[in-house]
Amino acid sequence: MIGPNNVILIPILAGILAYFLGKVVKPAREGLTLGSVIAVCYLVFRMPFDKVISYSYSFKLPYAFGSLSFGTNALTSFFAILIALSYLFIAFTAFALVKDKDYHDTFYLFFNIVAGSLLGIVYSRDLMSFFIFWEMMTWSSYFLVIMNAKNPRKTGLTYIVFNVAGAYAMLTAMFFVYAAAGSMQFDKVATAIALMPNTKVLFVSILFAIGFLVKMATMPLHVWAPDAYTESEDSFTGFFSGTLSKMGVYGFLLFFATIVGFANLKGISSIKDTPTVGYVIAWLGVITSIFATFRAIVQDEVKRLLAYSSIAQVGYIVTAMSLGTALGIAGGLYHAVMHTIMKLLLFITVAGVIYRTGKDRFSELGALITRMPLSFLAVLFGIIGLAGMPPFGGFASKWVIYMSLLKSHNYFLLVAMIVSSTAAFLYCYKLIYGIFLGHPSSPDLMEVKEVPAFLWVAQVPLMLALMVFGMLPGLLVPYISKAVAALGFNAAFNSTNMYTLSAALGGFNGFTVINVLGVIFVVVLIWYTLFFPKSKKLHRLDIYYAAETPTEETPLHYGYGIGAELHRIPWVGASLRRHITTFYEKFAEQVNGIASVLKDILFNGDGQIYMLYAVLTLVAIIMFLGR
Amino acid sequence: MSWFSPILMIAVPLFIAFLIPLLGYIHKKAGLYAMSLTLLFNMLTGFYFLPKVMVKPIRVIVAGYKPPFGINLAITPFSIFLACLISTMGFLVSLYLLKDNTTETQEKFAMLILLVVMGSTGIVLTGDIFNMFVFLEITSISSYALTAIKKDRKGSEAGIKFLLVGSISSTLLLLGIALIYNQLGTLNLADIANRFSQMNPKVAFLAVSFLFIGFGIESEMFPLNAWAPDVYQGAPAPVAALFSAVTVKAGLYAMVRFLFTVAAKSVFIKLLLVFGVLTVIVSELSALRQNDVKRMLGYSSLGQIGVILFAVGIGTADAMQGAIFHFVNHAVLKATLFLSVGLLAKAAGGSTMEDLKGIGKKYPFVAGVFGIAALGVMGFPPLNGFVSKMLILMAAAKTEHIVLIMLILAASVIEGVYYFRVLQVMFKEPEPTRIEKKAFPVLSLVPLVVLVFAIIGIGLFSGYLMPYLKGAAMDVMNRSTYIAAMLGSNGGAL
Repeated sequence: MIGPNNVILIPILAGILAYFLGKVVKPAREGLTLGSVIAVCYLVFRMPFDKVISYSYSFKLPYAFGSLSFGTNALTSFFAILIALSYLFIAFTAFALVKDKDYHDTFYLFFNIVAGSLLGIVYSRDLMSFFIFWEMMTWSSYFLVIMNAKNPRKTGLTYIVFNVAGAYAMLTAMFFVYAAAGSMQFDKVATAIALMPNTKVLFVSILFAIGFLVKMATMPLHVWAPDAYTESEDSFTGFFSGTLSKMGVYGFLLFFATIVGFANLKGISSIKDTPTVGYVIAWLGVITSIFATFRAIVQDEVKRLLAYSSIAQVGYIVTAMSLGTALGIAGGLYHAVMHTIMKLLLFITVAGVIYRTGKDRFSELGALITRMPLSFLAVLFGIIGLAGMPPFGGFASKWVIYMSLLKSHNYFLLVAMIVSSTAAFLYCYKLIYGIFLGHPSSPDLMEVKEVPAFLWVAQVPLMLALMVFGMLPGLLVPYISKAVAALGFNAAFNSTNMYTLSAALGGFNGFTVINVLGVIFVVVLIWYTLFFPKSKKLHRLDIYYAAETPTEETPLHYGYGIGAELHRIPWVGASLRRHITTFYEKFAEQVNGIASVLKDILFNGDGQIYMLYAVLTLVAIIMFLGR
Repeated sequence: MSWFSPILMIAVPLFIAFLIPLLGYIHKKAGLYAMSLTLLFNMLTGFYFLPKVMVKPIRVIVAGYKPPFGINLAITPFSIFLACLISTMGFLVSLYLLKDNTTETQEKFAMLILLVVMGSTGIVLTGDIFNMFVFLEITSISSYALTAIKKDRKGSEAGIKFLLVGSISSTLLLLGIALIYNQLGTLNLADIANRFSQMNPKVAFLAVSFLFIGFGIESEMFPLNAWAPDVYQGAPAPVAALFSAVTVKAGLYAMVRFLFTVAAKSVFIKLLLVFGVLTVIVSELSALRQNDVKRMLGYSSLGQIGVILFAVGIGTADAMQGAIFHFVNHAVLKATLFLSVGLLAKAAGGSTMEDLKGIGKKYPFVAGVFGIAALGVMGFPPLNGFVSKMLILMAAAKTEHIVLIMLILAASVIEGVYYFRVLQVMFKEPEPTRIEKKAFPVLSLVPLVVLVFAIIGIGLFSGYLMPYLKGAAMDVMNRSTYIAAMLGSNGGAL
């Protein structure tokens, strides 16, 4: 049987082969990627969902590593399916959008390697293989970030510094537990941590948390994310924000729930029946979502808005998970799925829009609804999900998160989260208005075509998924329950059929909700069609102006102005003007300063001084050790 | 085949080196080919003896005087392993040189390179401390000449600095050896090791300190390495590759052999730990602000040496295994980096960031090789640098050096910054128009291809190397077996 270890190798080998074969036959790149996508999807789905299987695999690695072990359980399968499907959709997007670019060859190389390393992360069963694939994800995604970046220097360096530093924080913690456990296997490490003194457990937890929070772009470690999401290659961004960030979620759950155990952390110190570490991270998550939401509203670049929105949404997941309750984790997993679907859908659509129009700012777009009806619908579905409104999937997941906060009596967290989700309406509105409604900013927008047909392959299933999960919110329940059970928690839900989602504090029937809303929608639609005559087709300059005639250059689209007023709100305005980036820039300046001083003083180019160093070192050794 | 002895690895290159000026009369290129063939011979001889020595160390007696009286070669797993590494790297660099050097100095070039490789091989193979000193001198003096061979300002200046600091090293080494000889009346390494405790402790301490600094200069330990960046920048790229792959390794060998086998002074081994971490931090920080890529690589090389010194300083068998592994990886990676930058710099007309802008689009293959090697140096899986770095850090974790691990990882982040900056400059800047694309000679590309396969292959299949590394590490850690093999009846001739 083909085990998880081989599934990992498929995309990686396909990527490498695609690079070299593609030099000879260009379509080989797409062909091999497609083959790998199909193989991965088939194998991932064929693997039994909640069976615990483990494999070990020896690359003839040194004895110290032992052999790398891989395996699968419900949590792993849950994330593996997420990865496989995103891989599929993004591959189709890339087929349409990357084909004319000059980085056609390297894109498929790195994209496939990233996909393989994500699978590696979830299938690994020891810290060493986890770290190996984590690092592979870091470097391969780096190249995808700078591939098409406008400002590769800043974006790339910030990305790599934060992610490598996060990975090394994790590595330090790994060595710490390795020293205690003498092994890197997850189960042995867990046993060793249970016996560790409290301070060490805290130290290890914080270091691991840093690694995962960087990946999830939680404040104050989020600095790399807006730039990287915005500037990465368009067709990859959906994978980047939708799926790569979920590796932080996976790692967080894996580490805090199975390796250390929330109960263990709670025993060390707790606030309101939540482990202190978890409580602090929960607040970080919710603060992240508030600030990122406000930031999202004022953006003019489409992808940057989505980037901040992504940071905010992952913030909800962080908050829900770090409570360490069954319901919280279930909510986090549920929202992880929904967020992946929404962000894939939105980023893929936006990538298509940018591809067709060549414009990536709200101030340059507008009124595309007639030209791109499918994309309009896709964004509409996406923002309904993002806003967490019924009848689509986003509602169910957010509802579970709210319930978990209520049940654990974290009312302030709940209030803060509601503030951020309400403010999210604004950017959702801006997203759809700025691109599809209002007046076109330039005449050539009226000439564009619908996004390429390959993108429909991604858009339509994702839209359907959002609808189906809204209609049948109980559909995901068994899978989430199994994943939560794999983490050692009791069942979070008490739903029995797929129409309803119910847990401790109540439930709702998604099927009824969507039917009622559907009926209302149809009634309104009929009413409008009957009583309001069809609007007249106008030229974009047919507009009433006070005593002046607009020209082709006059900006007519005011959709991009949404959010400007936020700057005038006292506290919000102040928060928007401050950037944590300044702090990091200062820090980098200091390091650079030290480096310059070291370089100029120590390596000053004077041979006699170099001789002096040798003599002084000798003297120092004799003085200090000679006694 | 009693005539086929490891001593040929020293004798043949020495003989050919002196023959090269004469060969120049036959054909202009004869010297260069002779160099390559000799190094190939050295490599093959090394690999022929490697499995044999792994089973049983070889003691080669010269001129019939049995140790401890005569000069003998002590060929133990660690030394033959390094001899193989040195001759292999030397051979690859020499292939690169065959087409690279078109000036009229090529005979000198070939001769000096042979001497450097011969000297380094001598250092690792010899069983006599004075002999080791002589080989070190041969290596150093040829290195000074090689540094300044281009006769430009940078090269000559670097050569002078190298000479100044190198002379201190020789002086201290000689003093240290004299002190030991004064006390014990012997120069044989095994004999000194055997009777080291008989020395007056104060004199012994002084001797070890002298030798520590002397070898420290050769192995580029901070703060004794200030000359090194100048040399890496000033010397021609293949020479820089040779230095970081060959001569430093010989210096490190001398340091390890002396501290572990001969003196067994735990204080000095602990001192290596401190100096190693200092070397890593200072070098990586200094590299951050470099504008010249070759100089930056020099600093980065020092940083890697720091990691090796740190690993040696941990002093456990695991760490030693990681350190020896890092010897190999550092040699492979740095040689790749210097050679590829050498090619690119020749095409671009200089090795500063400004010169190399967008060069990756012009020469995707060579720049890609540079990129892979850079990822390897930074320790990204699945490349070779990752495996040895992990082994070293795991050994450090086992001995609870968590703070030092954190310092080294912090320095690695800085390393990431400057390497990725170079990659970004190479691949993301617009393609330069001033450079006309010329194909590189195939012989210069062959070593790069071999090295890239080594980088990936060692990373994936490091398990095949492990028995050798284990043998070498055991050889370093068990001084009593070394002494027994070299002095007693245990070790045999061929």
